Amino acid sequence: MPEFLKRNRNVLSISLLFLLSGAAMSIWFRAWSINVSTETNNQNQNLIDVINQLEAETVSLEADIDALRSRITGQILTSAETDEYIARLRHELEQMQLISGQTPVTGSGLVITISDNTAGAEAAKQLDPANYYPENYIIHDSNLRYLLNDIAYLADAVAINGQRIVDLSDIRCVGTVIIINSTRVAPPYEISLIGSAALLEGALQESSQYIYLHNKNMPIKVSREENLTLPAYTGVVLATHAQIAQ
Amino acid sequence: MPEKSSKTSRLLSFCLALTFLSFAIVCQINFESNSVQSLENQSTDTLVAMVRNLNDYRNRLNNELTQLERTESSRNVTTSLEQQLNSARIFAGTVPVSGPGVSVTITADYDLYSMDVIDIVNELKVSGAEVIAINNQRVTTKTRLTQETDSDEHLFLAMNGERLLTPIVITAIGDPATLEKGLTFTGGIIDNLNTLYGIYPIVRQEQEVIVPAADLNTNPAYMRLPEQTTPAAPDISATD
Repeated sequence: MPEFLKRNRNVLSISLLFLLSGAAMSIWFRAWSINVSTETNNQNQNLIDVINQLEAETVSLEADIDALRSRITGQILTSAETDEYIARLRHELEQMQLISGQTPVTGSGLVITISDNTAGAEAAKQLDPANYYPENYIIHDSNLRYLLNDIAYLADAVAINGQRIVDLSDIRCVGTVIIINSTRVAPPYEISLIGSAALLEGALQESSQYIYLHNKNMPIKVSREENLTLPAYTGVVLATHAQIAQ
Repeated sequence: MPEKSSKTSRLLSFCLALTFLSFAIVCQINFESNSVQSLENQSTDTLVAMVRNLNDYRNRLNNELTQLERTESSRNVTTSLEQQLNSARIFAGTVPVSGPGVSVTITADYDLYSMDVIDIVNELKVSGAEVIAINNQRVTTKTRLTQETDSDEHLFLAMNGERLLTPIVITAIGDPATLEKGLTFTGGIIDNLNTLYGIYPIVRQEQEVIVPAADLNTNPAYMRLPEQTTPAAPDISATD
């Protein structure tokens, strides 16, 4: 190969040129096709811009909150207080944060990856376009909810696509977009569970929702993992209506 | 000479192949980002709803940030610790809690599926519920709802393996009006239960809902803190 290159010094630059021109052509083609279709979609584009802007803001707010929580915890942990009362509160706080999903955690467990049945959708569309219903081939928010109901009780910690599942986590959809903890997630949906892989897998096999999705030919991959790391929950924690009952 | 021309044509076809390859790669990237779930493929209504949700979420985050800033500036370690701990206890469910909210009552007149209850609970969370209980048992990530049939072939619901007695009462703490509206709007979950299944839950605003502490396993056997968790640890952000 080096011999070949030496004899044809410009082969490399020519191939690069053609690679780039191909890329440029496709980008131009894409831009052209979008231009044709989006004349009427200006309003939607504005909304998408607003959504992107808001998402950037909430992500940065979450990061600020996370940093602030860490600083407060740091203040508490590094304070010179040696008071027994404070030591006890500190220990309880750490324990509360661990069990309620407010810290990152690691451990072994199971990862279930589910995706839309795009191959099935294509085939159905080709075969009988009149009776093709795209919603039959995608994973819905309810599928994720029902699946979690069947298996999460056996897990110490759960996350879907990097969103830690806590008591207050909602899984909803707007249009065809699934939203977990107010954050958009897209397929494939990777459900990571820390816990006994054997027990989790057993519960999965018996889950009516798993069987349902399996029978619908939704691509599902299950793998046991030794080293899972799940992120901390970064959303709202403070209660504004609930208070500790006397 | 024929040697040379065959070399040129080989080079030419090689270049064409490269062009095609890069064209295909970039197209592929575009198509992937252009899936059913991408924003470009949503209706205006959907996008408006998403903007509304995000606005609401941003407000709640801002509120949280303000409260935390107040805690940080208090400078009194004991006060700060007690405040943090109380909110952590409520969040984790280790204490009984009370507050205004709603109740959803479903009598024995209807055959309710576990999925209906899961969906009602989810809608309550969407509407900002802070604490939820079913028949006076707090709902957590470990709550499991199932439907079974008894010896008389009667359908019944079970929570964590124990039969739920009727009427089934789902209670939630949060802003009563928001919670009620989240359930009862046209096209919402109660509307669907009414029209699709003839199930008529009774939704009522409550001045005070009391929810007992959750039944918790405070000694998880499989998860542990990552090795280097110092307060100044770099942000371990989500990867999709």
